Amino acid sequence: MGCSKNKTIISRFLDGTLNKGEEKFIQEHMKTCPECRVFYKEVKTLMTRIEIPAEVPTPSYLYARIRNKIETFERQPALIRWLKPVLVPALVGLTFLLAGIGSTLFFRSLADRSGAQTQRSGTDLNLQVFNDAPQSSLAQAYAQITGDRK
Amino acid sequence: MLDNYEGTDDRELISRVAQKDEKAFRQIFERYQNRVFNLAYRYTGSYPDAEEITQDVFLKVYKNAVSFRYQSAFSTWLYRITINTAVNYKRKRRIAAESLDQVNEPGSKREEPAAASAQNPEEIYKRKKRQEIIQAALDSLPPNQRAAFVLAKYEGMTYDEISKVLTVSVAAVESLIYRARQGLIVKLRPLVDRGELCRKF
Repeated sequence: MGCSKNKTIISRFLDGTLNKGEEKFIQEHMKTCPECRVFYKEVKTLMTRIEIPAEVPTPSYLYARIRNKIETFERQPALIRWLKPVLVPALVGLTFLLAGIGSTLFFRSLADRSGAQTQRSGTDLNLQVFNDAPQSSLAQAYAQITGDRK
Repeated sequence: MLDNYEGTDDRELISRVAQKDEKAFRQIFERYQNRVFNLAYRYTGSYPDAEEITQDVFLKVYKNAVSFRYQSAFSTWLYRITINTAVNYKRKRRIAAESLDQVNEPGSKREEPAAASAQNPEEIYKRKKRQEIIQAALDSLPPNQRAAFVLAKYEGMTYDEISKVLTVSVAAVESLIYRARQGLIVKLRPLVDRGELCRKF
């Protein structure tokens, strides 16, 4: 961990991209740093173990397949070809917009309903209170106000 | 192959491809098919994947020739498309495999043509096994580290060339290659210690 910068230099040293001064520095450093010496040896070993995969021949039918794809592309109406790259991002944006509007309306209607319920339950409570004691003067007064004859 | 475009430089060819000149496109393909295909193959370790990626790369060249601005060499642009296409292709395959709960099969290999330098069946088998081990270790690297390593080690590109392909600074390339090597050492050290990665068994 402490020598991570020097290990980057070792990596470049193995690729032969250091100047003379940098090469001298890192060689001197490795004489005194066991961690960097181990890293150097491991990378060197690794590089000799990893062979470049042999070049493989390209399949002979490849060009024909590419031409087929080009012809399919060319057959699309120009408008669709133009729209396709913008269509998906536009649809995604529209979906988010509709979801945002929908959820705003939903929560607003929830808020409205709970407000009305609070009012109604308050009235019901009042009624309940007064019904419990229908003979009381307050109940009578309320009945007169609301026109509720029992 | 096509007499009239064989000696034509890439800039001229790509400007003709932008005008839907099929012969110019064929020339570009003939010139670069091996490099693109082998880069895709070395990145993915899979012959069928390299086929798909190569087709997509040249289709993108055809579609986007009109927007190529000559700010870099054509080959740099082509390599960039190849790496980006290979990275995206691997990512989609991994997502598809994870969603279907598939074990990551080693590149859905069909039979690949044998390398020209094969000596005997045992040597071919051993080399193939080594390559599979190394490919699995490469597959474990993040895409940008893998790309930098493949371009440096397998394609022999300089740090400067790699920085243009990956559109990062040279210092970033140094860091990517260093981290790729660190990652590979961690993955392959146990195998090297057990002698499973010897060049000669």
